[in-house]
Amino acid sequence: MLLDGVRVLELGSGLASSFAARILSDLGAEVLKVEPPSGDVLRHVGPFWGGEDAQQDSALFGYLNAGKQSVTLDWTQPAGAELLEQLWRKHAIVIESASEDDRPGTAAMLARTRAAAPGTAIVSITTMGLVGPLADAPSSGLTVQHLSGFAHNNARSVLDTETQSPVGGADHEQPLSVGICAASSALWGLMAAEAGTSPAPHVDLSAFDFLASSLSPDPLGEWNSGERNFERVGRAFKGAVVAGGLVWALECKDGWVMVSPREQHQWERWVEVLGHPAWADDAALCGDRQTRRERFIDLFEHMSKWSRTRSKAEVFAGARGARVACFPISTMADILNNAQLQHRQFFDTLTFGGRSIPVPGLPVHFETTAGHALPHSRHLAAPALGDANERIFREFGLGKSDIERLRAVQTI
Amino acid sequence: MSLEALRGTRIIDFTWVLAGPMATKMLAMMGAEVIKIETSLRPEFTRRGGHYPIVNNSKKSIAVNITTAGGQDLIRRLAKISDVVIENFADGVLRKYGLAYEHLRQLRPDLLFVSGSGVGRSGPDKDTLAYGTLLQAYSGRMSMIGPINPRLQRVGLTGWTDPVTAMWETVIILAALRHRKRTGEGGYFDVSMLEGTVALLPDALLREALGQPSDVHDGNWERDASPAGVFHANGFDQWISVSVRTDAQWRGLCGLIERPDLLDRVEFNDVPGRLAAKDGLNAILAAWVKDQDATDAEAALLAAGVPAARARHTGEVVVDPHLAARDVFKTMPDGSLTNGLPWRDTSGWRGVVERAPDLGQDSDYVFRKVLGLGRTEIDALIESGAIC
Repeated sequence: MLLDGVRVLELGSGLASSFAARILSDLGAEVLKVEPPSGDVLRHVGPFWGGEDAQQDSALFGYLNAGKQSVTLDWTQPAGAELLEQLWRKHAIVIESASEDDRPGTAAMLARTRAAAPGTAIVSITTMGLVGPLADAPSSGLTVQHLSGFAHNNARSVLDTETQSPVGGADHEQPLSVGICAASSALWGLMAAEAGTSPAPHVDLSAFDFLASSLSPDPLGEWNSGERNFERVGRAFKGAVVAGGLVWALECKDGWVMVSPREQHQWERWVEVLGHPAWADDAALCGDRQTRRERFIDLFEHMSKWSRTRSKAEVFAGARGARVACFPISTMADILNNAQLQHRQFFDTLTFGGRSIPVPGLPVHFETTAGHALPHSRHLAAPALGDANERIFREFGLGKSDIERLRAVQTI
Repeated sequence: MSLEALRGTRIIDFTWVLAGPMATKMLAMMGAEVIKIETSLRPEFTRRGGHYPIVNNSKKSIAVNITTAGGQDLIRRLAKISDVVIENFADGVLRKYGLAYEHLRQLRPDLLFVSGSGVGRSGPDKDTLAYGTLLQAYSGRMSMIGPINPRLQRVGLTGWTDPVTAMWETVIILAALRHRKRTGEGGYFDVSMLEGTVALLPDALLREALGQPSDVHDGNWERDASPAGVFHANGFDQWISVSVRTDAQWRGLCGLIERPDLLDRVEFNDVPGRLAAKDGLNAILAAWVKDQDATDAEAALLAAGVPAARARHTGEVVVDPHLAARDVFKTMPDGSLTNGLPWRDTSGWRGVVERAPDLGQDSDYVFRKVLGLGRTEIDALIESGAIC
């Protein structure tokens, strides 16, 4: 595998850091997750295998941490700090995401440990950044999406700004996208260290920077062209016309599809899919692209009359047959049963207590010239709390009595 | 400088629109030599407007018509001395010109060939035309942001699948480059935008798989905070996001909105209690926020230790003092703004950030210095339309 032999230490708690280390693990790295003796708080974040009433055995924790090993350690205790420093030296990459409350202690620990282990690349993931006027400002995964302009762009434009607020992304997209970025920064840090940077880089990655700068090249392009009005109103069609194309959401019997017959030749084929209705010959309604843009809603009404009597799958199949860009708006049940994703063996199987569920794998297929391919359809399980303790402590020459002593002071 | 970890890496970049260019920009900022294969025959390359200057920094440009035999020969010669080829054409385009992986690996066995596409290069949908916007529908993410509606308002249709795919491509290429350096192995990499988007939706996917389906259709919904949400402040289109997670934040909020009585209510004393009462607590907060000036309320909430942020637009973000102190946006020689790496090294380094190239500006460097062509040969290639 690509990252065979790369050892990664994961510290702190967060979706972004867990996902970053999980990606590196999937690419072949050996990841050791350091948890407090009470366990990562993510172990108590749903969804749970046993439903919301159980509040334990988190399936989300399983998704984010499968493939890793777990060691328990309280590094705020002197004995724990010493162990952590020893562990640190043996790892090429450390990914940490201390919570706001733990930040001052973590900063001191990082400074100390970086001096002791200068060869290890560090990635610090925060919401606001390690430095800057707002570094200590209270923040959350929701507020940073609004602070950074991301939420504004997500709801631009709308007809009524007073009832249609700016809006964040879906699901856990915000922290997990930061996690992908963190995994990249970790490999950059590793490669820079291997190229001779000493001490190895310390990456300061904030969700704020990432969301503000890396997701919205179009609004920044507008700024560069002199636009200073970023109001969300008065652009009724802007939200429906993305990347130069006309996109319609059409209601079907069992949900919605999106279709984008943007070029003239696509439009003509699409009209045939619709059964060439009489309105399609009305040039004032849909004669050219500009007209179709202006009559967007009228066309929506006409096309919906047709689509409402059909299923998503029928419309999708018809459009695909005519080489018109179209996809259903999937539900999660659709995604779990999607033929394309199944063909590509996108889902791994996560197991717990005799139960199994599908979870996403890496979004890539590859094979190297030596025949090393990324495995798919794997069987995964979450690491049990402290499952690597014995091995790790033996590696450091700790005897049974040392371990008992550390356990007594709850360092491990 | 060794922070430029990819110095000495040469990348042939066929990509266009957003996802591919954003990925190769990341690699260029880390020191790679990215050579964009462009042509004056495509409007995207001649116009160079909009986001082009923001997603193509620090790259080189040559103008080559790959539909000509001479142009294809130029690419093959370049591939022999390059490390990575990246493309996001429709399936089969490069094969038609003899520039697919199976062709180029004959010339450069340790080549890394990266192919980005909507749903991947295999499977029943592989030939389906897939725009980024439609993949937001296909992945299911759109309906989790807001209810689907005919005008597609407030469903997050702006940049998502492309930048996310760029991030995936970056991490995969970095891992592949490091592996190649140690083992000499090249390889073929087939990245799916759909899969990269779906991988970020575990809450809804896991709930569905566990038989506990999610009914969240609001991108402002935070499961683990209460009160939490986005509230209308006094003034046109003025909104504030607030999220209360801890007991300390709860106490700070009650003090600020002058509702000490809420602290006496035992049912609100802990997180589960507040989560159970979320609708009611949100209504109390909304009633307070609606009469407040957004800027003042944001400052007061932050001073009380409560996570809060006024919804800002791009015009405010680009002049934000915090982002400026962190050097997030870089000013180009023409006064325009672009972004550096999404992270900074604690030394302050944010990557190599140079202006995006003019079309064909690096012809001389690439054709003469890198490929060692003579003037007559270059003139003949221009004459034949291979360079154009």
